[in-house]
Amino acid sequence: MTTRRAKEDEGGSQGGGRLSRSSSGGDTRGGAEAGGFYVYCVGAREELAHLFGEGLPEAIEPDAPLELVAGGELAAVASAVPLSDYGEEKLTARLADPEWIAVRAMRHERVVEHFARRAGIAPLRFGTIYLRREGVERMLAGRRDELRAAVSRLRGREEWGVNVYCDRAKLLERIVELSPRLRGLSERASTLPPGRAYLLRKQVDARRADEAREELARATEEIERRLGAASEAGVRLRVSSAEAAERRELAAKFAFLVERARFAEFRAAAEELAREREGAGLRLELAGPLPAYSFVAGS
Amino acid sequence: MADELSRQTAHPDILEQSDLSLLETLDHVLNRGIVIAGEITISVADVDLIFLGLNVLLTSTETARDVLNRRAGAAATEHGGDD
Repeated sequence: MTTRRAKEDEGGSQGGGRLSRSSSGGDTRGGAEAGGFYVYCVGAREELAHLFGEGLPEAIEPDAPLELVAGGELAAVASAVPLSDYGEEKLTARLADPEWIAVRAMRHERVVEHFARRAGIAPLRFGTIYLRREGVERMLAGRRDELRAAVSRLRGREEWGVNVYCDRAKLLERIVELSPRLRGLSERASTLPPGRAYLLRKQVDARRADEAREELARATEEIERRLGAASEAGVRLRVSSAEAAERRELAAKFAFLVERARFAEFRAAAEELAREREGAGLRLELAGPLPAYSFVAGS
Repeated sequence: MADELSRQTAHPDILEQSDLSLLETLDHVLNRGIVIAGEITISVADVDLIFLGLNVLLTSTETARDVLNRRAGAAATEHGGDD
């Protein structure tokens, strides 16, 4: 049984991208230089304001600097983007260009990482744009409670990815020793006359693949449970088809929300699991830290 | 902080530690995070498609190469003031 995160196939998007405009948008022509505001993350106003005195990473369009848009005690990190590029017509074409998206997504990531390392923030998904500064202010006011809760929940915490790799040949080889059922059968076979022993060994062989699958499921459940106990929250992630093709041994992916002060404990738990499961052909890989994108919604 | 980093890398290799791959990072940024409907909202439906397209194009411009490869370096230097 797999618990892959369902991925809906959103049809009709040739380049993998789609854009939508809310009705409140309206036309901006008539302004001096038509520009929008791209929003990266939200945090506590004062905490973020301090960080604007120091060096900042480059914005999604490097010729416009990062700005802080405040609303009450919250503030959003944003930067101006030209609507000549981010307006509806041009953007549709841009979204068919993987490189254009990837470069912008990476700049978004670097901005969010910069602030996540230094303050409590809630990261926004890539691609939120307002036509005017007031739009950002309205959003901060309108979603104040939800944003405040997210910011305080994520403060001092980071996301760590855990990838579980399985050497299936090794697991199949070891499964007879690992599975109590198969071990029992094969021990019994050694006490039987050759004819019946042969049949029993055939049975053992036939069940190896099933038992290996179950063993892998047990192992990943245990990894999820024990690392979940050493962290604040955990979630199993989808293994994308591109990733599965690139890393054939990748059996499961998780993300955990780890308090910075508890990282050593989390790491030690992961190390212990890796050591225990090494003999069965399992490897664990820790990747991070990342801003807690996977944990923005309440648990 | 530097202390912590060296402690991590000095560990025995029973547990591998790596930076997120480009694909993983894209998956994060494009698929997760708070969803707020802006006045213009870009939604990227298929990260795989982006990534596959990217693999073909990865070396096409220097700017793209630079930006896409820089993440690893930025994560390694804890103080990150690299530009």
